[in-house]
Amino acid sequence: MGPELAEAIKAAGNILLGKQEVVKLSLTCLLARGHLLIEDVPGVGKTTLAHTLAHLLGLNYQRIQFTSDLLPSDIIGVSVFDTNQQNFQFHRGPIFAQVVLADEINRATPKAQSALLEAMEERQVTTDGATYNLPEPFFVIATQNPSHQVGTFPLPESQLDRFLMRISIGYPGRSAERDLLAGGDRRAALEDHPVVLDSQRLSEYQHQVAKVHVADALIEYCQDILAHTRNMPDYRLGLSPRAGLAMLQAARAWAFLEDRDLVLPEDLQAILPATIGHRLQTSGEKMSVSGDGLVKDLLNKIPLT
Amino acid sequence: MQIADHSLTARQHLLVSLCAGFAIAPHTLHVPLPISLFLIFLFVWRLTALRYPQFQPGRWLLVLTTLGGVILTFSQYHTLIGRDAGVGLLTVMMILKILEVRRRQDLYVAVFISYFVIITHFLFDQSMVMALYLFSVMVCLTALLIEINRIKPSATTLEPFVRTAIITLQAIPIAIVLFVIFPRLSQPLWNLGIGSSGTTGLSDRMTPGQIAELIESPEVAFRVSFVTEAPAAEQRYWRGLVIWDTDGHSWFNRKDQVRERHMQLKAHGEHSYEVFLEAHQQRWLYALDVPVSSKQRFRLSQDLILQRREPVRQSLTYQVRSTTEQQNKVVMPGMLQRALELPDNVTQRQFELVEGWRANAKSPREIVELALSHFNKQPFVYTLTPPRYLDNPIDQFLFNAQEGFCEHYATSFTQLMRIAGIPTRLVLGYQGGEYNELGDYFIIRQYDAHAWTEVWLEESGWLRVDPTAAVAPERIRFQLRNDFGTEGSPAMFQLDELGLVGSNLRRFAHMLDNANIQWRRWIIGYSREHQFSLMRNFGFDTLTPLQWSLITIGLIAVPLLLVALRLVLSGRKQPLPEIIAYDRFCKKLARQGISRKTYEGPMDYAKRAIGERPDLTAPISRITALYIKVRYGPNADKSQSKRLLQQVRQFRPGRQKPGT
Repeated sequence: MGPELAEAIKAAGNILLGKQEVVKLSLTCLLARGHLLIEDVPGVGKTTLAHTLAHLLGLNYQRIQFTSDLLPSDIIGVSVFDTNQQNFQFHRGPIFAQVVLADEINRATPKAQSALLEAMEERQVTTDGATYNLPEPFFVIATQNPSHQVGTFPLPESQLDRFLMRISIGYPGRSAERDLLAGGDRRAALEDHPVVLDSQRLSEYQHQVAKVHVADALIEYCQDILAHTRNMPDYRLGLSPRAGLAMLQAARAWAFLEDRDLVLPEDLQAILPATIGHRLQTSGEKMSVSGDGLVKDLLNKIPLT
Repeated sequence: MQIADHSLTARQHLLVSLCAGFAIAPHTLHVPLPISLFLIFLFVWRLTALRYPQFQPGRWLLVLTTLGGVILTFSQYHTLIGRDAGVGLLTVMMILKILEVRRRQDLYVAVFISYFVIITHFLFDQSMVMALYLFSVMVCLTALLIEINRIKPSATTLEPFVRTAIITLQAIPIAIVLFVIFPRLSQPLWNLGIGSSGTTGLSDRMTPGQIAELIESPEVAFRVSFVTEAPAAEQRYWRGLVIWDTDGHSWFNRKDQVRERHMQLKAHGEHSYEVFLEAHQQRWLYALDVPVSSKQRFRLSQDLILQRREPVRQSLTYQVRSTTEQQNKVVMPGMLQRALELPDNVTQRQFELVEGWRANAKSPREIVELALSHFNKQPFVYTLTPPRYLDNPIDQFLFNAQEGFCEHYATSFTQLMRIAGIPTRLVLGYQGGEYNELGDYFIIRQYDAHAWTEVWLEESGWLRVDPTAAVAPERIRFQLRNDFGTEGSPAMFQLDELGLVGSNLRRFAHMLDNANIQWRRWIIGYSREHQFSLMRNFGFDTLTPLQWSLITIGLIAVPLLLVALRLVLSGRKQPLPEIIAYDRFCKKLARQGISRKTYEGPMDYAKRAIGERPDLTAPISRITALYIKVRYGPNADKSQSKRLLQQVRQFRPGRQKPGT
């Protein structure tokens, strides 16, 4: 891990007080070229997290506020007739940014949601027969309110799968919150902090992450986990191969942040709650268990040899 | 993969209870009544406890119930070993096991005991119906076992049964091979005690009125399948035993008079047939009058009775040749004297009656004919419900009531002939039989029991005379009807007047009986002798049974073992040396009270271990780092795993104590 990344984690931790782990996971997600879904109640710092990451890593940043009347063209842009040149000119939408914050994604209709999700998957936008590449790196941080809140369109499983990770920030601890309340404006503090990275360096890191070694033994372990979710009656639907790929990719990034050139089972275990929590659906009485509890339960049942 | 979840669903609980209940059920019919009630009570208790868990007995109550069960069994049998007591104890323990089934392991035990219980039924009953019933219980148990072992419940109820069917089909070839060639015991396994299946047939002591009781029973005495042409009904006398002596009331054979000798008749029997005899606890065997030889080399006594050394305690199959035309002139010293002996209670009017015949007859043969016509002309009645003759039955029957059954006619006739000086003996057996056209055999039932006589005439030897035929010739040609009427009313005979329903019913009964007899003949009756003759056909008769057993076991076990080995090996790879080394490392630490959790990665474990034993920081870090490098790193080579093994060997966490 380069010193810049350690610096970025430290700086972001200063902005988002007491949320070191969340910051690290978000950075892992970014390094693994995945998209991040933050599910939490309003006001715990979802937007701040997105903003912080974009700023520290020297990436340009756009925010799309999802509402129920949001249209796909509000996301990807629209072609406007230019009277001077007598043709249609494509006006790029907010999605053409390196970090896109899709705020409250589950407030929009499925139609608008899918426009964003398609762009995430393809990393390009096609409109009026022309294809536009999205910037590199391209990182979507979507936030959503817990789905039991009023006026939400929950993302279907297939679209949840597009996010590498789903995390929640949670309330800060008591001492962290006191620092937060006592301290000054977090936004201002952020603006003051120098940029630690640029998109060039970030791309290099992403390449290095891809080279982190995954041994056969680790793949076996990963497969044990996949097989377990498919065979046990506790889950309504087992993990997909894409989930397996995501797990390994995220584990590589985590190992990279841990300053290692090989992935250990611990890395896989560390990213597991965030990576498979939203892909797994429990059945029966375990319905209420989610995220961490679910994964802890899962890991307990899979012996590591 | 280990299945951590040991709990069972309510449905599985119910299913295992029901299956085990079905497995035990037939035993309740022959264990003593208190044990039956105990079994039913516990079964109901179990079902209740499944519905209302508060009734589930606690540990102490279970222990007490178990003790009670053992005591109950002991009090009924006064032992706990042997077939009956053993099965009694087994059923009691089985039902207790069901009562305490809680977890998966209990269920396995319950199912496997159920399999064993299923086998024990064959000690009591080897009928086809029972075999079918037990087979279906076995299928249910296997399906249950399959269902329990599945990780996810089956989509349909049919699925485990389909799998059971597949397993069963796979097992059938092995079962057939074992059935055909596995060495048999000379005595079947179920002959452990006195067979309870013996029905009361004819006995060797006859008191008038006895056969009349017997004819109320429609139980099968034996079945006969003719190889040659079957004789006509009036020729079908099934010879059982000959009775010589009387005390004026009962007829029997005095022990001191029995001088048996093995007979060898020269004659060629024109009737060849096979008899399937039910257990009757006696030594004599039934054969068509008169038997000449048997394939099984049974003894033929001097009065031409086929005999075995041991009583027939289980159903028996044998082949006999008989002749109906043989002039039976076998006579031994003292035999004719014995056939003339009279009891003390011969009355004057009997002498007078005989004197009348003697005066009118020129030869013994004419005396016999006069006697028969006396029975015919006097108002004798053939009845299934004769009055009870207590004092001197023959005299009362002949002169007072004149109502009787075959035994009255036969005994009276014998005595009268003896008074006339004609040697006469009494023959007991069966007469007639019902033809089963489906299986081409005759069924002889208890109500076909019959008594007749044989008289010695100088010119023809022993001659069969049936005085009953003189009174009621229909008896010999038709079946008796089972409606008895009031006492002393003439017997009714069954003519071929069955309606559509009746004939179909009879056809169905015949079909069932045929299926049963074929089962007995080919499955149960497949004996050591059959096996030997089969072996001879294949030229294996030089082998001893022990050699043969070993070869059979080898033939089956070796391929099975190979298959099993393959299955095991394909599922398990040889563990890598670094895994062995690391396991050893973990074990060494575990002995220090720091055991690795199943899911714990090497780094986390090392951190925890160092936290607890800071004195071991260096070796733990070194070993862990090396292990990580070998196991999870790129380009690991063998020398590194060797080094790891070495380091683990040198790792001795027990030597230094924390704080020293």
